[in-house]
Amino acid sequence: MQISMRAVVLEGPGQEAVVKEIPIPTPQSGQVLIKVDSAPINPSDIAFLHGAYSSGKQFPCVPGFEGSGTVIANGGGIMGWRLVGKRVAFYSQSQFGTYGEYSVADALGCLELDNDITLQEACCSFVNPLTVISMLEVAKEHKTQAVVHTAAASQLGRMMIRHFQANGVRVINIIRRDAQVDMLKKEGADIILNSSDSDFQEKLKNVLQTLRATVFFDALGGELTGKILEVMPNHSTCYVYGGLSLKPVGNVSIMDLIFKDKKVVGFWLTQYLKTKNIISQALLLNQLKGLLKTNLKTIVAKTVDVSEFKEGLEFYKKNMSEGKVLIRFDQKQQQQQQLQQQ
Amino acid sequence: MEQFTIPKTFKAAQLVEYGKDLQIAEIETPQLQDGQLLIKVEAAPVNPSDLQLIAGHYPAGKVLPAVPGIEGSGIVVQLGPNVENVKLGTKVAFTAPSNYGSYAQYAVTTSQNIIPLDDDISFELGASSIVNPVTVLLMLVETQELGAKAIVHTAAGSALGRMLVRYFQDSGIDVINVVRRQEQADLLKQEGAKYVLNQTSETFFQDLNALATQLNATVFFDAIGGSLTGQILTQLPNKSTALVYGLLSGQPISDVTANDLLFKSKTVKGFWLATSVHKYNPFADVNAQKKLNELLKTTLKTEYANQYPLDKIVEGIEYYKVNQTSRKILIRPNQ
Repeated sequence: MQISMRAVVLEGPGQEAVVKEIPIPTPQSGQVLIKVDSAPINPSDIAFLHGAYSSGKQFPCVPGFEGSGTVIANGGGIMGWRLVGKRVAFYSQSQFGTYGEYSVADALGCLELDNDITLQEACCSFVNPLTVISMLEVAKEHKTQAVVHTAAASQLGRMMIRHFQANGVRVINIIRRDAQVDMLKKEGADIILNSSDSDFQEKLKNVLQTLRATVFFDALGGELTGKILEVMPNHSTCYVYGGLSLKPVGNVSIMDLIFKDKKVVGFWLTQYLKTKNIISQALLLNQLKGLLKTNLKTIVAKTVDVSEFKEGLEFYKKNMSEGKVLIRFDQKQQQQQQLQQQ
Repeated sequence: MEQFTIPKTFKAAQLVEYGKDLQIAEIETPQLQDGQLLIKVEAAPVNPSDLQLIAGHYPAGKVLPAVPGIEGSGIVVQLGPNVENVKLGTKVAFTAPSNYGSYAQYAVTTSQNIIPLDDDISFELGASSIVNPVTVLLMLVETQELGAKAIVHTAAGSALGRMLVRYFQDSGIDVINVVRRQEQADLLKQEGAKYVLNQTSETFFQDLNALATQLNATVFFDAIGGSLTGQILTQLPNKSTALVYGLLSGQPISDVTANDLLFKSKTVKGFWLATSVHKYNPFADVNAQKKLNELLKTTLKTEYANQYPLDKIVEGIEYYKVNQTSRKILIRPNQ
């Protein structure tokens, strides 16, 4: 019987993550133990590895916030009991995240999968898809015709175009490189602006003359945030949900805040979900299931075995728009290691 | 009923071009439109928002040439068509959002922009009734609505700041006053301020963090902007809100971290008297008016260093610009 597992271990925030053999964890009451099939690397995982993401995890820990697999043990409680043996997509904030052969997750953080989807297809179910679904809810609450979105060529951005447009909200896509334009057009994007153009602000202003967007989802931060908010209509709200520029939010005009009733707030999925009761959360997750193979589908660029985690991470950082890099757990490698130990 | 003779022309300080000195002119008395009133202006203060307006940084909807002067005190001397519930001869504090502001012998406003003053409030005392006092009153309402027990206030040594610390402390809300100069700290201590920090001190951010944590100061009224806004916000507890109400630095807001916005649920928004709509409304509510009148004599009182006739308004404005913290000035158009 296997008693230890291979996992990526982070000794402390900002330190280098290494692949090690560690004991297989035991789930507590309300938790389940999952044999992990696939786990993606998301920008939030990168931020976590660099020590720039708040999660309440203690160190050392196994990183990786989401993935897919099969539930093999219940820590206690009826929710977990139901799930034993089931294939799930799941979200983990425990000490044992998804970059390990076995992961511990809250039973409530697991979504049971139907037979028509593979584990590999389902491993990116939470971070991006649930965020996009939640963002649409926010947009609808604002009753806005359209939203502005920076870093629009990201996986999340492409999901947003498909999901929002299918639901009657248009997306004003802001990108940095013209190379990304064709790819977005294929997704059905019809408004694409390049923030490095010298007349970018003018162009955005023109678009906003006829298309009233009072919601701005910002993944970048930095000086661009204020620059964009400035040409948006009165009463607009900027939801900062990422920090890809690695700079703090800046250039926010005081006139905008005082006289034009504009706001700057954060959007964090974990926090957003806390504002929803169990039934609303369940309904959100149900919406997910129907869309994972269509509008909320993830493009995968590469899969790597966990032993090549470092290479996979470097590849993803350099090619983020290509698609996700998935960490998987090669059975042969695992058997080889066990043989070596004996 | 009292009757007042309205002259055909009157003296006014006109803004002809943004950023340039005001010019004294004799202008035609306007015909009042529906709902408008004519006020004989007895006293008008100069506030930072007036300076911003003259510089062209305040959206007042004026069409140049226009008479600036956002507030003042005086007597209602003429009623336009369809004005209800206002008597000629009423002593009032007023804001004048029209093209005929308070830096003139007469100003045009509406019945929604006046607050009757008690007999025992002089024109001088009543001149600064709205911009600062009502802002401070509404700031307290906002603070209470956000459930905060303590606030942080920048440029705290201003006239508004000194009013704020008196009023808030009286109401049981602690104020962490942030100033730049020792002289401002001294002024505040004289007002009874309990907590004063100097932003130029080497240990300012640590001191602020310790104090804000101890007092649980989750509301931040910011009059300055620039990078200090984000830098201060980061020292405050989770779920804090920065309410930006002034532009004293002239710089856009920066240094607001994604960490603060996402993981610590902090918010950055604006606060403007004109749009701060609350149950407490001294323009419409009689009880609120009574309360304001009482407070004007005590906690929300303004003191003036100098008074100037209309002819000398440019000199007065220059004096005020140099001495903004400690010395407010008053214009007396009809003296």
